[in-house]
Amino acid sequence: MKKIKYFLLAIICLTLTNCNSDKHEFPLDKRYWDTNDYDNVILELRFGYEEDENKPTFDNPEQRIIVQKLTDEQNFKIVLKDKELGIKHRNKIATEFFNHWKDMHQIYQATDRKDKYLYDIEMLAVWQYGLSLQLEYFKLGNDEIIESADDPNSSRIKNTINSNIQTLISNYIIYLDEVNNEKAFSEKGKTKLTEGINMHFSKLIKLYPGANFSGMKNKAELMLKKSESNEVKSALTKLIELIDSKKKEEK
Amino acid sequence: MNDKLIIILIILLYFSPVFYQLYLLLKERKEENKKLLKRLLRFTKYSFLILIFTSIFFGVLSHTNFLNYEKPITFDKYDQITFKNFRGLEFFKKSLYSNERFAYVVTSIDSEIDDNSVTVQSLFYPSRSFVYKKNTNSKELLTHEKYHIKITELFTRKAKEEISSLKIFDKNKIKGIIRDVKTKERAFQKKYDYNTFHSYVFSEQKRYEKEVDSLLTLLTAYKKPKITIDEKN
Repeated sequence: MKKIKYFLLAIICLTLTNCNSDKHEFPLDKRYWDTNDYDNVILELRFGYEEDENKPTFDNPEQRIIVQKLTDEQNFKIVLKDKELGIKHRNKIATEFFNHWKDMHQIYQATDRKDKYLYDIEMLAVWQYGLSLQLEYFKLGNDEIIESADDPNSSRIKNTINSNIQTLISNYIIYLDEVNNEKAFSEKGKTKLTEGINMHFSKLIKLYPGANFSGMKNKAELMLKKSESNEVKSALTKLIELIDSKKKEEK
Repeated sequence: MNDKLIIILIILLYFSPVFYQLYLLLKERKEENKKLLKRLLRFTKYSFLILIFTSIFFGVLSHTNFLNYEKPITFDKYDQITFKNFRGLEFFKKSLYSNERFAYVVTSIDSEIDDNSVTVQSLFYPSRSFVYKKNTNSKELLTHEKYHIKITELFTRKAKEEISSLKIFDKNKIKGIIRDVKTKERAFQKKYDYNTFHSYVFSEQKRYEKEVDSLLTLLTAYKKPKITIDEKN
């Protein structure tokens, strides 16, 4: 009889143990996340966490992998840079990634009672993922316009392409708005912020050296006056210098 | 819901008559308990037997769908293979990396050693290969799976190339070559799936297709399954 009791007890324990499934699930064994994965992951990260629950961060060894995967540029590059795939298909996927990124942006926006970002590093990592994505997205869009145009050299097509590049530059300028929130960042956050300016903005300028960067320069100059961080100031100065140097080269 | 929890619930449900009997037994501690206990044990025994047989049945069916059996296909019929040949059943795996639209192919290197000849051929097992939907129009998925078959054929030819270079007919050496080639083939198949990420990385898929095709062409001389070894002095 005792054996039977123990058997029953074991079954009950086993059942109860199995009720504790992982609260948050992410496809971490998957090499590349596609837009369907982003759908689920963004949903989970935005609405699956309680207000006082910690979201995955880079400094959490157990959960670091989640935010690393989330902001891994290879996820979109593996498709968007694959020249074996058709340009229309790649553009469609790029649009999907871009739309997902806009949702992704909301994940790490939380601030504390002192208006400081709770997840500044992660928020900036998402931002920088978006900057890199936009570079590919707008380029693909323009390439498709050129490919499907009757006359790629016509002024109408050129205007459309230039307009797209200006939109891209405007989107990059929004990143500089974060300098306005400088006080909301930790010291590490400020370093991450400058990394974004140094790395991604220079890529943009090198890709479109002939574009009109006056708006960006103006914004950078204003932020330079406002910033109190030497690191940020240095990054902004370099940016202004780079724009100026490209302007001189153009002349 | 957690998969394990579902399985446990099914088992609990399945054994619910047993637990009911057990409950009755625990409730009444009378002389009749002995009878009840015997009945309970008998009931448990039969239940376990049925469960074991059912598990074996589904296990075997999942391994090879003998209800819709098609014998292994040799490489000379490669061009005729379509998803209609993927007759396997899958009860346990619902998705591959969260993708429900998946397929897998089972191939092997089959060998037979005679007195002075060896037959080595690649086989594709239709009743062990699975596709989520037989009438799927995904050419890319079919191409990816069919290249697994080509890879097996490639290593089969490599084995034949190596065997035919032997000066003496040595069964142990031949067995060693085949064993070695089988290991290399498995490793290559894994690398193919990893690098192409099951054809998601399209440029890698195309690179593999070109590589495998050109290697197969290079080994056209070893297309025939049987090779005869003439001992050279």
